[in-house]
Amino acid sequence: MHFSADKSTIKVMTVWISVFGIVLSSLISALAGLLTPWLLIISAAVGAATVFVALRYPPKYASVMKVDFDGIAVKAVTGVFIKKQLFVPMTALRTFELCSTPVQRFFGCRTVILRFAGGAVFLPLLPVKQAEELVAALEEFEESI
Amino acid sequence: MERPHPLYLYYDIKKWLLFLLLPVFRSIFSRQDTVSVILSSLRDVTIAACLIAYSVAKWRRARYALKGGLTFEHGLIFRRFLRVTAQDAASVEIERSPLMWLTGGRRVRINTAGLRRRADATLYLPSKAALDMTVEGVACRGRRVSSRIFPTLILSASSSNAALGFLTVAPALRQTGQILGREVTGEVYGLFNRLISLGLPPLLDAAAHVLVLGWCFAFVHTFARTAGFTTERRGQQLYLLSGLITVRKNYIDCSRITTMELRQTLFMRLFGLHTVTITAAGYGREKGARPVIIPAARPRELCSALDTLMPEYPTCPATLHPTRRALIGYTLPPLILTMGSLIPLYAGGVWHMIAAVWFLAGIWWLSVRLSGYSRAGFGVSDNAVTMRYSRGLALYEIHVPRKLADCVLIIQTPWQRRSKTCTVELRCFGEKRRRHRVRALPVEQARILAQILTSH
Repeated sequence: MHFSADKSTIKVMTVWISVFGIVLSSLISALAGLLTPWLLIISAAVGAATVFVALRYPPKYASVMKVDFDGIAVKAVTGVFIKKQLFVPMTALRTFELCSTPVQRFFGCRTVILRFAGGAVFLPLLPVKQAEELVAALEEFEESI
Repeated sequence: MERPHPLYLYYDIKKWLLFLLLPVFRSIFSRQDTVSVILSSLRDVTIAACLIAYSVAKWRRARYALKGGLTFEHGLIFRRFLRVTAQDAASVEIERSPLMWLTGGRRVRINTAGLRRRADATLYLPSKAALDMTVEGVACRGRRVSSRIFPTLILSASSSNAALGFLTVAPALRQTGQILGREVTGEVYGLFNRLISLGLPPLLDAAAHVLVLGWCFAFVHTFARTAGFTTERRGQQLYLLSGLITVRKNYIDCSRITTMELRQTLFMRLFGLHTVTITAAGYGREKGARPVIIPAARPRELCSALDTLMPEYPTCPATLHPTRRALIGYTLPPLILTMGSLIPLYAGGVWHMIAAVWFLAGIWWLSVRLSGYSRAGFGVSDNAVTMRYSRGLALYEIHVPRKLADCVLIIQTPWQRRSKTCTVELRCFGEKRRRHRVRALPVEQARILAQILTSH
């Protein structure tokens, strides 16, 4: 079974990056009002960087993200700058969770958390249908054991 | 159900005893009139008496029973009932300090496989009951490995932390000085100064003395903890005995051992010694505790000791090693640090000494990194996973049963992508939640090994 990100993932990431950029830019502007107007240059640079990252990063992230489940292990590839490939054998899996924030719910995304004795791994921003399919497959596998 | 040993009372009261010292300090240092000093002291003593009475009531209500496990009821305001079955107990620790030896009591800690910061149950029992709790009550002798004094000394020397020792010894000296007169602290430092003359400039001399004093304290503390270390295999249990002043006995269920780790600092490498630690649910959970099973041994002794203690534990060789080009990545950070010592050297004067210390520290780290590079590796076999890597100033080799390897991560940074290498991270159960990482491995072969690892 193959799972990958779609437009909803891009939307959620764009919202988060925009919100973060706006908050940071506003804080620097407020500091500029208190200390020196030269800080407005940094504020403008942060604003420009936010627009650039919000437009470029989410599509790249979505194109890289892939999750595979073959009944033996969950394998995933994530990350744009630092690429991560993870392998979680089903025998090690203790519990799994499906969770979402209000923004994720609004755009139809879910995060799947796989928990094992040594910690947990997150498969963030999977489209709701795919996330539910993955959880159903994991559940089915657990029951078959 | 029986009442715990009266030591329970002592250790519970201990935290309130400081209240009783307040009137003494007030009478010595306070400049108030005698009546107000007496009234304030009466208030402190009353509070302490109430708290001690509370502890006594708690002890009188506490009950335990040893039948098919442990049942423990305690608490006055918050009443707690605890039941740990014998099968669920992953490790049991029995401690005997000089006071416990005099009073015939023992501190018993019982751990189960949960991820908690403290033991599941800590209770004080008469020595006979503590003995009955363990297999020791049933006379049986197994295969035994005892550590010799020299390796234990080397282990204590290499793992003693000067800063930690100083943090313990300095407040103790200051407090002694406050009680017995300020000249006591001065005399201790003076005596130490006469014993060890390092010939450094005054400012560095003071700092060096502080560090050496701290290290000496840490060394004595570690040695007292690890001296007389004996490990014994009794059926499905590992029995560990250690300590010079406070004797500790540990019983660990072998089936709960999830990782075996061989640790070596550069100092220990000079003597060809390794320390073997394990990850087992509950063991080494307490603050400052280290889950050691063999404090220090040379490779040949180590092999025979492990064959004696854990013959069934799976191991495999590390087949995948870092690429040649990775040598630069391994040595660059320590080389930059070492080169940084040129800055204080250029400044001259007292900075020459700092430059020398800085340079030596850099060279030490470089040597660790070089050893780490030559030993680093990753291997997977039918029933085990092995990783060798360096972290901080120590070299590690871990062996994990394949079925207990929880997750493998292959991480590639942009510069690793160019050299087609990656960092492999292994996650498995551990009380300290540590991650094992080997850098600069060829990515394709690492991916194949990860696939093999998850293919069962």
